[in-house]
Amino acid sequence: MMTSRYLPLLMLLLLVVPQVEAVSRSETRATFELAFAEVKLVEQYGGDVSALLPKLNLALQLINSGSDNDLVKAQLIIEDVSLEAHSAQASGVSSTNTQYIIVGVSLVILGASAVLVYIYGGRLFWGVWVRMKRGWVVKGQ
Amino acid sequence: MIDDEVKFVAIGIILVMMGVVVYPVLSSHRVIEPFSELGVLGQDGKLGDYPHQVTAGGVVKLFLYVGNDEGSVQYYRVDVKVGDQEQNISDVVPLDAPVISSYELVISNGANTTTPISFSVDDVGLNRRVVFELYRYDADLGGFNYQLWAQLWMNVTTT
Repeated sequence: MMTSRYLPLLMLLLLVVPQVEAVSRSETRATFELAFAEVKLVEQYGGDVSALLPKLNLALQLINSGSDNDLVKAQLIIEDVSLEAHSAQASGVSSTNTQYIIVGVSLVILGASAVLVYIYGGRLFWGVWVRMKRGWVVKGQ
Repeated sequence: MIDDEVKFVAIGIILVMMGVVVYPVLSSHRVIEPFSELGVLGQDGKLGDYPHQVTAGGVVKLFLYVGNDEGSVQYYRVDVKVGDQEQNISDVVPLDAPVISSYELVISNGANTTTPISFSVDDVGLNRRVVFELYRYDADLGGFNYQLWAQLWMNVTTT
């Protein structure tokens, strides 16, 4: 009865413990380098990486501290950074696209304004001029 | 005649406005001269006041200044080595000596970091050369590239 009660917990421990022990410094460093490459890519896509950098620096400190426990913590932080990097990249792509759309629309509006000025500019200018000078009186000599 | 001039001035203004709109987008990722910075600061975190006389095995406390103007986030490593006057070091070739201490940090573009460091020099002798080498991680190559160096001269004594 007792064995069946704790069986799921034992199985969970059997699954988790070897994974924790298997984390080596070189593996953690390799994972860190992958996470850094992801963060760099996020930045290239216009994403905000300012929140990810303190985590990467903390992970580096933990990797270099030397204890196995710190390596596990570093691994968790790096995985967290990788997860956040994906969402930051998506929002970066979205904000870059929005920026391009705003610039494109602005250019279209300005281009259309240039065409309108070219076609109707003279008429508009003289219309305004006539309105402004409507009070003028021409006096004969 | 006048309306033509007004028309061209107005179109000129519009073209300038187009340039103002487009320029920030085109120039946002452009880096004219990318560079990294490495500095060694004294015990007070300022230039100067460096230890010139240290005891072998004694702890030397300094500050490392690293700046990033590479145009993107960078992963740096600073190796501390000890050599002598006979050994060569240049901007291309690092010092051929074992690393006595190493520091790693990630810095965002346009930012810099001042990190407290401590190490000990065991080789007794006059004019020992403590060299600080900056390496930058290249994600494409999957390794660190040697960038630049700084050095301090120290006399290492037994007592």
